[in-house]
Amino acid sequence: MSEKKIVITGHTSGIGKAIYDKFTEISCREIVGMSRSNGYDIEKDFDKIVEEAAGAEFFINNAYRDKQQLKLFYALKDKVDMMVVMGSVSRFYPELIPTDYVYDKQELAEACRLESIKPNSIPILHLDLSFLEGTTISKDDPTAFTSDYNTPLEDIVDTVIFWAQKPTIRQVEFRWKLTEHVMSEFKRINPNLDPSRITF
Amino acid sequence: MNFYITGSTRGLGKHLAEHFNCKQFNRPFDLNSDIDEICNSISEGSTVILNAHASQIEYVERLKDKCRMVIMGSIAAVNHDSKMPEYSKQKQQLEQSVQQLALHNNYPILYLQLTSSSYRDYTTVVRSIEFWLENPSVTFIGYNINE
Repeated sequence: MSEKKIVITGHTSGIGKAIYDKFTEISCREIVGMSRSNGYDIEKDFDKIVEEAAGAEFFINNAYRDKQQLKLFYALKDKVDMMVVMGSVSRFYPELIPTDYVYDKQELAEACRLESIKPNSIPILHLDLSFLEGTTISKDDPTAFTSDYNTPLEDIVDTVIFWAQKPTIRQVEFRWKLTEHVMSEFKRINPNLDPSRITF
Repeated sequence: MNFYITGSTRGLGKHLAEHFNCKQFNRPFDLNSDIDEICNSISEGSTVILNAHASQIEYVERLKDKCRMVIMGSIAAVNHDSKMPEYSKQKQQLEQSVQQLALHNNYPILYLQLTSSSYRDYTTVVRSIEFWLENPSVTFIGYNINE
């Protein structure tokens, strides 16, 4: 039995927790969760995370904060056996959400793509995630909202498990259904948005 | 569930046709000029694998309200092949068109961005389609190109 471990950032909520819980249930590997609550802030504790995640069989690069997710990608892409990177389908429509988050996710996706075409790259799966079920939003953030169409977390967990058996896949996108509610929220946040590329 | 496929005389298409027991559209059908006849013969609620390159965008438009679709795209859509510029351009148009439909609507569409190696890896493509049938919130699967 391998002594290698599975490491996941942002494991205490959302899709990170769902994957952490599932792997804890089904895997014989050591599962290591790294979140602020247990002393792994992806900004303040960056070096510690890299040092402790190095050598992992499976690194799930889930937690997002500014450029830190991208920095973790570069720091660990040659130090782990396989990596899953949580991106966002919103990167395809920056005109709807012109925020640093979307541009960071664009940069992250491009980094994954460029890495995946290199000879001898480790297997990398970039997931373009949509709105997720169970998402909680900050009441202090006027631009935050929840969707009325959400991807079940189980679908994403299943995808990660599927990929672990077929790592020749490099990218999976999930449906980002732009409902009337979602579009009205985008317009509330950005009254000048350009919806011309959206067809129903 | 009924399966149909375009372009199944050899290679990946032949394997998929056998695996999914597809009704097949090959010669004497002409995929470009017989679109009406082919689309009319496909039963509602079935799954159609658009493997042949011919008229893929037209088939997507005609069938999107009627059935599930698996669309064979190519990495040439994003990594342009200078030896086949027209093919790359058509695959790029296909990918953009399908992405608009699949990503932010509710059409049951899976777009596969195939590479030369994945095109020969029949097992992975079959398993990708089977996975999607059980997880239809997936709209796109792209494969490695560094093998």
